[in-house]
Amino acid sequence: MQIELRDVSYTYNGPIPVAALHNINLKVKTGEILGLIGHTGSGKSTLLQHLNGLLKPQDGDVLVDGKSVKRGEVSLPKLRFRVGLVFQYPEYQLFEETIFKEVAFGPKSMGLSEDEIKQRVAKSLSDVGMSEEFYERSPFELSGGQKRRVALASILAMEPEILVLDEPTAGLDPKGRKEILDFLLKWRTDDKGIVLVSHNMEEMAPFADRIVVLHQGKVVLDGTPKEVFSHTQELLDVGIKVPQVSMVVNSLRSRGYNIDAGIFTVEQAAEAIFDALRGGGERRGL
Amino acid sequence: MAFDITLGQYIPGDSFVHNLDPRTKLIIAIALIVVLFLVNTFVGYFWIALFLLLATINGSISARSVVRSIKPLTFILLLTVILNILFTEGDILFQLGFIRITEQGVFRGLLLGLRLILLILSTTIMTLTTSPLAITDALENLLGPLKKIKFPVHELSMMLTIALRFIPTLLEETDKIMKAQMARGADFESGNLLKRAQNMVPLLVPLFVSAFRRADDLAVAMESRCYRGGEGRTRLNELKYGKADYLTLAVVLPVLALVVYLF
Amino acid sequence: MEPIIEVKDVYHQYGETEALSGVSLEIFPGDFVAVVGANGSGKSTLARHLNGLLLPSKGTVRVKNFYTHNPEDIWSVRALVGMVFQNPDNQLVATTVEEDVAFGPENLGVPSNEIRARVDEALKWVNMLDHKKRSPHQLSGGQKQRVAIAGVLAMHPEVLVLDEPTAMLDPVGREEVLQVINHLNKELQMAIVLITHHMEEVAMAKRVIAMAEGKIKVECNPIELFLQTELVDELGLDVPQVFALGNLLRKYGLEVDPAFDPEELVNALCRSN
Repeated sequence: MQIELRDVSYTYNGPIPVAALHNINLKVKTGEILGLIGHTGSGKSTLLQHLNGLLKPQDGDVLVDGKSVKRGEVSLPKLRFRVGLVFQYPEYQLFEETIFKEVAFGPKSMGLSEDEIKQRVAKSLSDVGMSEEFYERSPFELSGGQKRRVALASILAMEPEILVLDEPTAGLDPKGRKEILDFLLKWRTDDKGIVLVSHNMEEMAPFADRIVVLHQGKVVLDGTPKEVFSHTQELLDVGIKVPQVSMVVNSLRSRGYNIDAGIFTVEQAAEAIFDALRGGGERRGL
Repeated sequence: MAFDITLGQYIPGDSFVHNLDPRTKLIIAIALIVVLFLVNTFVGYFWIALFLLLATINGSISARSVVRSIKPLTFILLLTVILNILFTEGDILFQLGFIRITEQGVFRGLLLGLRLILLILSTTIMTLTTSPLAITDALENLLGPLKKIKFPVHELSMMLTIALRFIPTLLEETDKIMKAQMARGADFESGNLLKRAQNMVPLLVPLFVSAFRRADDLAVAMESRCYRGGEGRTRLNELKYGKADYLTLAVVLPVLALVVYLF
Repeated sequence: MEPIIEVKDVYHQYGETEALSGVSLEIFPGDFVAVVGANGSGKSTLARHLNGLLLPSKGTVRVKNFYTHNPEDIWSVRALVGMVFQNPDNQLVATTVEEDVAFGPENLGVPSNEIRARVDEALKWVNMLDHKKRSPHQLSGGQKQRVAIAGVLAMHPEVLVLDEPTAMLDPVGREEVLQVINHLNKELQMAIVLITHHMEEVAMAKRVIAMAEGKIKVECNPIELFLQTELVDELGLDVPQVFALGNLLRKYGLEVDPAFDPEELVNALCRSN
């Protein structure tokens, strides 16, 4: 599946019109993890809502597998089942009496049979690590992290081809963050895609195949993590907090050390820095 | 995603009307409402309309704001006028089958329509020139004497302030939840009345849950800042009557009484 | 130096579980203490004991001459120990910024003209004086939290307890709030107790307390904590990136002083190599 935003622009009408997106060109497809970075006001939220048809482009077009949203060639309700959008703090959308019913909401809206619904609920809850004993419990009894997993399962139950997540680790403790990221890595396969929006570059970097940086409604960078992180100055200019190790590497480079640009994990940085400083010496403790 | 919702209809300004103590304005607004029900002549309404016009001009209130405030009630307005025209007994002016239009009917219809417009205007001028906070302060102050009979004046006022504070927040939250549920296939648009009511559950339940949690958090935060009810509380902005207020009340109230007496 | 807050052997029974098991702690003037731990470790529970929102099942919490379990003392305790919570929206109670900051002093019965002075002063400390007539819903998360902090400052507390104040903020908002906290600690010598999940925030503190299962497992300075990578793992925590890089380089055999800040690490690397 491929979704393409072609020259998309969008302005919010109100007492003060707010231009959220300017001529966005972006391709999202299955088989890829796309990281989207930009701070509040960069247009991230607006862009995400164009991916599942919650918003229609005012200028430009959104093409889903080549079919035009603007010309009405795409069934938007169906699109929402193919592109699962998980909003920030999704636990706030829980409303059903039991966890089973909550997760069944999506498949039910899709008009699936009772059996299919049961199957899907079972699979998605198991995917997020919740066993059968949770089925009849109220979602409101759970802890924050568990609630979030239920909310995630409710979207997974629609079996979307592309999963879009807005700040999935927001408000979680380190353990919770790790769990969600591990799950996403497992979920992604060749016929599924992920779009991940995050403020946390350090989290996203080791994970994404491609990174797109948004600033004031425009795409300012689009490339592999390595490529994007080597533009440290540009990133800082648009107010993005670059991974700390990239800053270290950048600073060493500016002092003349020969280290690869675009490093963003601690392990990579340690190796590269050691080699640069010890010129091929042997590393202890391996 | 930012959309600015101005609280109530308040537009800040520096006119005489703006700077009056909110209690003065509240008293006059209430007096106007009473007078409008006591007076039943066009002449009387003319004088009241003149007074309101003066207030409007002084408060730099645009004609557009006035029209905008009447718009929501256009339906009721028309209904009132038409029903009165059609169903009042009296000297017949025009007849077509069932429909009987009398002189008295037209008179009453127009009068009541005008009364409605003037009622709306009276309160609108007050809300356009007085911040919601000032209005609740005024209410709390004026209802003060009721504390003696254990009427929870302070508590009501606090509830009102907090409710006003959260209206924009709740609107934003509603939008967010709607979008989140639509992303799961919820349909808030199609279907008959009953179906649509059912479909609101995924919107209403999260809103209620959130409201309860919010109330809880807020109570804890308020207690942490030593809130313990209205006893002994002082205020940042103490309401004080000024010369302008005494003057205004001294002039306006007798004039209104005169209008009632004469007309 | 006399501690402002003395927590002595506090237990907190929550139904079947012991949320706190024999916790003892002292907060001194000018202190900057970070409290960390996995969810359920008891850190939020501990925070709420500091201003008497929760009362111990055993043990005492003393704030200067006041005990939290004395009903007559509780308001004095809360005026001395101010608390800021996680959700920026659910702390602001009034329709304008200045009215909200005035809420605390109003509750304390401070005379009207003095409230005005306190409100302006508090807003200045958090850099929000220009916004005093605005409504809460027009503010960003970081701005709201700063107003919440101002609302507490206006009560002239001696300790500021912040329970995950940046958890719901974006990086810009987090930066704003942390700057304010640092500023208050350095310039006003305000004692700070910061409960957090973000390890970079721990780096700002003079002391860190790591909790698990209702007990204090470790109390030391941040550097000492993050040098013990296994302990950090056990406690369900993380090591901040730059520090972790330093740890790894030291493991490989490079000599470099521990550092939290990227430039500091680079300087340390250049120095010793």
